[in-house]
Amino acid sequence: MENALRTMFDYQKFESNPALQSVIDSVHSRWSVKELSMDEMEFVNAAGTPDIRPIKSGELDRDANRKS
Amino acid sequence: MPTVSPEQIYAEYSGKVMGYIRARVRNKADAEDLLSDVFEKIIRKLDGFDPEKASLSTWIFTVTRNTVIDHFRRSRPSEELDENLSDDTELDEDLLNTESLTELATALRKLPQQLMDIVVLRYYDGKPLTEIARMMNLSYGAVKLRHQNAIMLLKQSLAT
Repeated sequence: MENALRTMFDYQKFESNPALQSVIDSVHSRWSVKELSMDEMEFVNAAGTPDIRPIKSGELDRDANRKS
Repeated sequence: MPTVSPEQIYAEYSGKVMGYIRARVRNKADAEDLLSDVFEKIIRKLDGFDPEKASLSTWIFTVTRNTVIDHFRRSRPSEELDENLSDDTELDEDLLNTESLTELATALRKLPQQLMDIVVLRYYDGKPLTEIARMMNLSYGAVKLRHQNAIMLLKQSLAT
C-alpha cells in the first residue's frame, strides 16, 4: 500500500489530477506547505541560507548615522 | 507505429513533463536541460513505443521519471534518492492513470482530517514522520500509530 501511495503521489506531480490536487491544496493550506515556483526556488538557491530577521525600530537610522 | 507526431506530443505533454521536473529539480537551467533530454529520448524511442503495453501518457511519465532519477544519480552520487523516486520497487503501471488518482482523492476525503493530512505530508511532500510529528505537535509514536491507521483505512476504502 505504501509503495502504491508513493507511485500515485509521484504520478500526481505529472498528471495534476484536479480531484487529488484539491485534497493536496487543502492539506497544504492547513500546514503552510507552499510549493515554490521555479523563480522562487532559484532565488532561494542563489541566496543560500538566508539570515532574515525583523528590523528593530531605529536600527536603519543607527546604521545610517554610523556610516556618515 | 505511433499515429502522433513529436510536435503533437511536445504540444500536449511538455507542460506535464516540466511540471514534474520542476517538482523535483530546483535549478532552472537543470530543469530546462532535463526537459530537452526527455523529449530527445521520446523522439528517439517513439518508433519503439507500443500502445498495447502502456498508454502514451504512462510511457512519457516513465521516461521523464527515469531521466530525473539519472540526473540525481549523476549530480549527487553519494546521496540517497528521494523515497518516491526510488527504483527499488517496480512501478505498478496499473496505478498510473487519472481514474486511480481520482479514487485516491475520494478515499482520502473519507479519512478523518488529521489522517488525510499525515498521508499527504508523508507521501506527496515526502516528509518523515518525525517532522510531521513536530509540525502537528504530537509525539512520534502518536503519528506513527495514526499513519498505520490511515494506511489501513485507505487500503479498505480502495479495495471496495
